[in-house]
Amino acid sequence: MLERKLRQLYHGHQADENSILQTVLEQADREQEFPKHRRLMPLISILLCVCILFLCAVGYFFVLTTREYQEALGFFRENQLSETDFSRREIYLIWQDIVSGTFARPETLRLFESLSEEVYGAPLLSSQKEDLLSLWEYRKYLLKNFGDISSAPDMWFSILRTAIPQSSNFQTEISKYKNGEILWTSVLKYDFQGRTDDVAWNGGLILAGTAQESSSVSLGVLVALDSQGSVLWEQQSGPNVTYDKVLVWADRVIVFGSRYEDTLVGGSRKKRWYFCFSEYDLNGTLLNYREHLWGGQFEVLEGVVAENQFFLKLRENADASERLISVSSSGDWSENLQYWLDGKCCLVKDLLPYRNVVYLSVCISAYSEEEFLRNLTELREEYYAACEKASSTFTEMPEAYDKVLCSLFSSRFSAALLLCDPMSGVMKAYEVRNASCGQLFSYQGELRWTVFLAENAKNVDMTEEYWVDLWVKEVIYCFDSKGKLLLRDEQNVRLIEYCI
Amino acid sequence: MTQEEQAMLSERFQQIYRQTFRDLRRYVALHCSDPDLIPGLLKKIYLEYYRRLKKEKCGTGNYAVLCKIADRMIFHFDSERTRPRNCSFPLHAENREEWLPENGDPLLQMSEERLWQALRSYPARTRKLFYLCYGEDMSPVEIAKELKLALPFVLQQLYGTLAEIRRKG
Repeated sequence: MLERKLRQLYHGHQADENSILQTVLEQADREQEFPKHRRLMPLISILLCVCILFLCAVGYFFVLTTREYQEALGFFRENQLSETDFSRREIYLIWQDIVSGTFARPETLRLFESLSEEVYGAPLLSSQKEDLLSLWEYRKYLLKNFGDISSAPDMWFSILRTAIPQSSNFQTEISKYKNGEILWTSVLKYDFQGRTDDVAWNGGLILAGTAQESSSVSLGVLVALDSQGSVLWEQQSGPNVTYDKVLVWADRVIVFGSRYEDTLVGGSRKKRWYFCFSEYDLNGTLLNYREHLWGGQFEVLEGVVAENQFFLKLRENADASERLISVSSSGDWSENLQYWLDGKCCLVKDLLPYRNVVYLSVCISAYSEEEFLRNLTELREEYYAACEKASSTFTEMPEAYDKVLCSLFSSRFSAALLLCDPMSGVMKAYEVRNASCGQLFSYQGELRWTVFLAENAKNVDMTEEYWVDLWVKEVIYCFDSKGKLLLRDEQNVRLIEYCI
Repeated sequence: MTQEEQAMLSERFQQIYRQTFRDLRRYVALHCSDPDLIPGLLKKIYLEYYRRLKKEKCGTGNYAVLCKIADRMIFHFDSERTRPRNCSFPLHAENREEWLPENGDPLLQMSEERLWQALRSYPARTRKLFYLCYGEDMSPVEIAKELKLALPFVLQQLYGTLAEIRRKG
């Protein structure tokens, strides 16, 4: 009975077959009315997602580009480059190109053309990467060192020889100035005779000079002062030594000078002169001392270090002639003035200190001496053979030969003006392709540099030797005190005889 | 779709519906957790089947397709879906002497409405067993077999619950 009652109860509350069918059919009919809408919904959703993603990507790219553009703009301002000549995108591309060291984009080239005009006052000589890099580094150096219009150093030292009160002797006063105000004065007991040389170091100074010990004896003295003017250490040489030049290089203090000793030659007293090289560490300990016999009295006028090698300009006192020598890091001297820069052989022609830095006039070899001679010999033999074939004399060589000969000479060297700064190292300030160079001198506050351009060459036939008459044009390049090219002054054509 | 095609589809659907409804209802009752969900689930299952039929993606095995749809719908819409286990059932009137009344069954005197309310007050799992037994006319043995439960538990749930209702009056 109960079971029947329960069955009736449950069957009555069961899901009704007909009502469910009715509901399903009604709902299916409703769907029939809007099928496209249902079908398009996922598509619309996907499109919406894609749009949102695209907008996010665009936003991110915009923010990124803006940030990078700001960095590029900062770079332009830091390096004092003109923003007005370039569009926003060009500024960004130039920044990327320079920072990555590629220097390949046309926009960068356009910028460097204006930089070349600014620095050298002349169009860009070459668009090669290394030349652009060299111009960039040089301009950066100029901006760093001469960017300020006043260009007066804010800190300097004065070295004065003063009389000791109530005495007939002299002493040396060294003062450090900053922005025109004296910071400290230090008094050294030495009476420095003649010229002293100094180099700023670690806020202080290293001073080399020749002190008079007695009326007949002089000593080379090297003194290091700290940033407060206290003497850190001092070194004295033996008697009859002159200290002319001091350089600080690679944690070493290098002093160049001379020494003499009295000798008796044939009953008369004569002085024998030596070239001296002294190497100290930064604590004043002597590490190396070398001396070489020299022909006569001399003075080291200037010195510079380039690629582990010292180049010195000496003046022989006998005839006041100047000569260049090179000294190795171990103290051996030689007249071979070659050194290697970026894998190329450089021949130093002159050096000149100018505004706290030393300029070097160097000829950079495009190829080696052997290769040059081989080319010259081959050319000569080729034309000699042609002359013999044409039954003409060697002196009647065709003009074409002279032109080839001239180009052979002119392409042998590039003239380069290098700037040696103890802090920044060696960098190329200016380069003239297919030219050689000579003397450096300063005139009316300008730096002047002599460059030779081969104009013509003529074979001179000699029986034993091979001579070439080379006509070169002398050109003087004038640079202002900020290192910018002012003028290119063409001089007369000169004849140089070249003998093999 | 033309009206004629629509009518043909409707006719075909109704035919399948009639053929499969009872079996599918039992299938859903066995697999879902609460018998109250059965009407809603059935509507969803048949509506989905209708859509497939319209797209002609149903193949030939109608009941098999419906069972697949039912599995998916139960999975999606029955949050309590779990296979019933003996331990999860509350025990009612464990004393078997109470299961069969000696003198007249008070439940017979109880109104249908009251009895239905009393039964609905029990948990879904208990109600499910009652539904299978009295709604789908399955014997306790069949229920135990289908749901993989022990027969004494099924009996305990069915008769123990009734005894408890009886006792509570």
